[in-house]
Amino acid sequence: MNLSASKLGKRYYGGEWGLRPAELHFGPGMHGLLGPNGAGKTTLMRLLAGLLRPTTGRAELDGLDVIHPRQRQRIGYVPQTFQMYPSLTGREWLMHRVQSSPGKLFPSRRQALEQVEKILLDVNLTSQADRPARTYSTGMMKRLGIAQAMIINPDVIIVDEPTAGLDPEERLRLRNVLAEASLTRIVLLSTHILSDIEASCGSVLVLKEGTAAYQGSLAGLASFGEGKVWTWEAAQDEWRRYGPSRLMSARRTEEGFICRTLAEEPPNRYARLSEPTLEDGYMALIGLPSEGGAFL
Amino acid sequence: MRTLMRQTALELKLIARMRWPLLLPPAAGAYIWLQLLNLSPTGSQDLYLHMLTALGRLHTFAIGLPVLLGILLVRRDILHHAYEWLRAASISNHTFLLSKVAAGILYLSLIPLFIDLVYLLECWKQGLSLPYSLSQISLVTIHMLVAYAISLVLGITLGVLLPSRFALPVGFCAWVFGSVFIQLFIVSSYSLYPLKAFYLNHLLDNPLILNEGWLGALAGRELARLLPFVLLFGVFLLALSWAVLGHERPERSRRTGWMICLLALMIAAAGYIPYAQMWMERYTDRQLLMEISPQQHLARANEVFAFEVSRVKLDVRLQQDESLAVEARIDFPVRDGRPVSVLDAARPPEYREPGRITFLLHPGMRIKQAFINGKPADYIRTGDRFSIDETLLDSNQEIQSVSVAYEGRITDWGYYGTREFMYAFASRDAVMLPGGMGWYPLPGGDSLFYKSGEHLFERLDTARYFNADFDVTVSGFGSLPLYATLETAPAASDGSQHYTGSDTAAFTLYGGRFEEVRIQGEPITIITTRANRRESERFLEELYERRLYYEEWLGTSLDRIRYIAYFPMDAIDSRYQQWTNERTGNTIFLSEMLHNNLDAYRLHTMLRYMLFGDRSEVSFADKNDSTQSIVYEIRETILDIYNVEHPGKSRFWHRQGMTFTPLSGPGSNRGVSAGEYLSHFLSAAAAEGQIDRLKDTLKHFYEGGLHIKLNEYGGSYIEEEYNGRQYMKITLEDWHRVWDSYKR
Repeated sequence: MNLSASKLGKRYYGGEWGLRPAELHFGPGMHGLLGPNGAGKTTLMRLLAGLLRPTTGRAELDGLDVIHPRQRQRIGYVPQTFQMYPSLTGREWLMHRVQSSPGKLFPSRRQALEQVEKILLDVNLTSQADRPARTYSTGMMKRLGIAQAMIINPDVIIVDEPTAGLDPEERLRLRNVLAEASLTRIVLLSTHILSDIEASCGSVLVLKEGTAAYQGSLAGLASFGEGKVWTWEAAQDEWRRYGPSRLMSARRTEEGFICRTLAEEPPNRYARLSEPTLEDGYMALIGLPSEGGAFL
Repeated sequence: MRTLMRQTALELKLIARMRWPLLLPPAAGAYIWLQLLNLSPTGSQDLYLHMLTALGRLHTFAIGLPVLLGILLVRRDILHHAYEWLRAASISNHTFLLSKVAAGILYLSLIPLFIDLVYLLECWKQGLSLPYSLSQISLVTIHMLVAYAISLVLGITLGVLLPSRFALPVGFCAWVFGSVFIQLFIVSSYSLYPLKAFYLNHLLDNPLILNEGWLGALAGRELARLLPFVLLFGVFLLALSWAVLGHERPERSRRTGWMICLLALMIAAAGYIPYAQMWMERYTDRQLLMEISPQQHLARANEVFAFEVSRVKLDVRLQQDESLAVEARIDFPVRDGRPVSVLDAARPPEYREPGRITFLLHPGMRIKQAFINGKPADYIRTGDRFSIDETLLDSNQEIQSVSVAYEGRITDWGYYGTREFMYAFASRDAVMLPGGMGWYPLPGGDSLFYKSGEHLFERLDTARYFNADFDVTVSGFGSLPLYATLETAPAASDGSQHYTGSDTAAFTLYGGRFEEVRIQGEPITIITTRANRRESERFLEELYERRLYYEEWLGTSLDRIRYIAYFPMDAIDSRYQQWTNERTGNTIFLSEMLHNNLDAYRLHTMLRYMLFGDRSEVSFADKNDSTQSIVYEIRETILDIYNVEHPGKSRFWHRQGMTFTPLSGPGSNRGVSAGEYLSHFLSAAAAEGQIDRLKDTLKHFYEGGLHIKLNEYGGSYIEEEYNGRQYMKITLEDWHRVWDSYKR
């Protein structure tokens, strides 16, 4: 199973690139997709899901263009904004998805029911499955979105910010569902929550201004912060003088603040180099000013 | 297919769960039910006519629903940004579109279903059989379904092409345009009738659809030619939607989508060809008539050129291609070797062409050969007439004979203002060949039509003085019920019909899916649609009672009229549209309309025809001159006397209608109208027990002749035009003189 992109690019009307031509490759497992707002994450996901016709190159799943209608049943997609027919219940929709998927392995109603029950259980929607979708909360709606993408047993699942707005319990559950799904599939997870990536992804792709800035392991992304993460303890006046917005973090102590920042040079003589986290590496890749210096 | 069926089922479920759409089909049925419930006793009792009229209104509004539904169906999910995930579903674009179309049509078919159920129920209550009722509404139902389907697809296409905020107002405009605007303003204003192909509503103000007896031949054939185009255009719209949707949800190369779209457009255009051919034929035929017809101010009275004919023998055959093949023989008397004018038996008519005897013959008829007195003769065919050299007549014979064999199609379509109609038509499903239309040679005459500006009118005087003996054989119409304004002989074994008439007017041949209604004893038969059977029987019963009364009193047989043709005549031109109670030969054509029926007024009209041979309601006593004729008032008194002798039996006390004629009568009656005067006379006679004397007086005048001949416009001739053939001059003095003579 191999999802790849060759010179895959999308330019919108007006000539602006949503995604510059990129060479990408995804094997089985969960892959994180990071990038600031407007970096091209959604464009990339829509291109990989076959929902958008590329301007350059092509995306292929096992050698066949993802736009091909046959690929539709192999790719599940959950957009950031997910809405369901308000009058349908979750169970009705999932049953419909199963039964109307051509060539799938759930020909009988009994088998379809079993599959639906399993997926409802996985996303913890069993007790709400017979309520109309208009009564669902945001979290329930997101879980239903995941369920509808997974119910057809696709080879690729592309999920856009599934955990945004969810409480920790919901997030954990959803993450686990996707982690389990990634054992046999390619899961592409776009999120701004780095801990979700850290907890479940084996590799990560970082987009920056429409360009694939990095694709590789989490450790590799973290390594962008090596030699640039500085920590020191500052008094309150000094913390104020330095500017909280230039800090990665500032944790209050009895004597002042433990400050942490990204910079090419130590911000003061008390600062010491620290071990970079994934967030540090991501911010180092994305957020460092081009001329160097302190993190904004 | 499984996916399509499941997706269709889902779409249906979603429509059902919107809830409000479910209310509309029963509401449509309820509306029709209210229209059919308790039909006004003074209006037509024809359920079909009422249903169709109500449906025309309803359909105008209902056609907006599929447009709206089409937009909602595509903008709701597949093209809604929050349903982007759906685009990743393993359902192809065409399955999405087809499922929405299928679900929409299935839902929309509930509307005609409810309407049909209500209609069938009402038909059943009237005793009409199910197969018959179904046959009545099948065409309308098919039209509704097709109109809903194309409107739905139109809505879907607009939804695909435009975002909701634009698609909805544009859809509204499309609805108004297709259901009202195009027909009421564009087509009729610019006479662009081929654009009827883009009507979403053919039920609104469509005269060709009102007569169920002619439905298949007129509206049915036209809609049948249109149907392939509408369906193919629907396919094109779907292909267009599919191609555009391919941009939003890519499946194949864009070029494939647009190539298929282009192909669908070309096929749809090809589907328009049969419909366009029909219109080309109609416009070409009309153009021919326009070219050969004079402007109104240049037209001369037909009778100026008309000459007497003693006998007409026709052998009419409808051929395989529905053209007529006719062999006609016209016998006409001559005096001094020249025909006799219908206006003056002492002299010949004015010749239309110097030295040539002319006949009017419809220009669509191609003459194959002509004979004079059995010998082949040269003829000249010019526009709507043919002529032969007068010198070819045999000066030794008092009766000359012209035989002519010709064939051709006579289906003439026309329009005036917002109304289209047929002048005449002949097919295997319906026939209407008015006698004055020139489908058989009419002696002399100026023209069959005249034009006024860009409008073409049939002339109503082409056969005004044409009376002859007729011997007609008609064949080739299969099992179509066929009628002529002549005496009917039993059908021959080969299916041909034979009609005869003695000294009768130019006959009309008509036929359609009609029924003959008779009652025991009454010789008049009503030719009508089945829904009018009950009303026709009641009418005949009332007529029969009066017939017995008048025949016993007047001692004469009232056998002038044999048939009443009673059905909607909106589809044919002014001859039956304007003059709704017209007589041709032994038949009265009563145009059925929504808001009147076989009421007392028409009963009196019938009695006028039976008693006097005309239906005139024109008084001549409206001058300040006691020498003017009170012939009309005497006729009305004859009609009224039945009511006096049978109080409570009449639905209509006719004398109240006789007070409109001012009169300077003799003596103390000066200043009272003749109608009032005779009305008082009648009342007084009844009160004084002198009814019998009055009846004797009236009978005296009846036996002298009370016929009134009207001009072609249904009005009286001006004073200067008076001649003895128009009406009798009976003055009040004459009345008193006769009244006094019966003093007992």
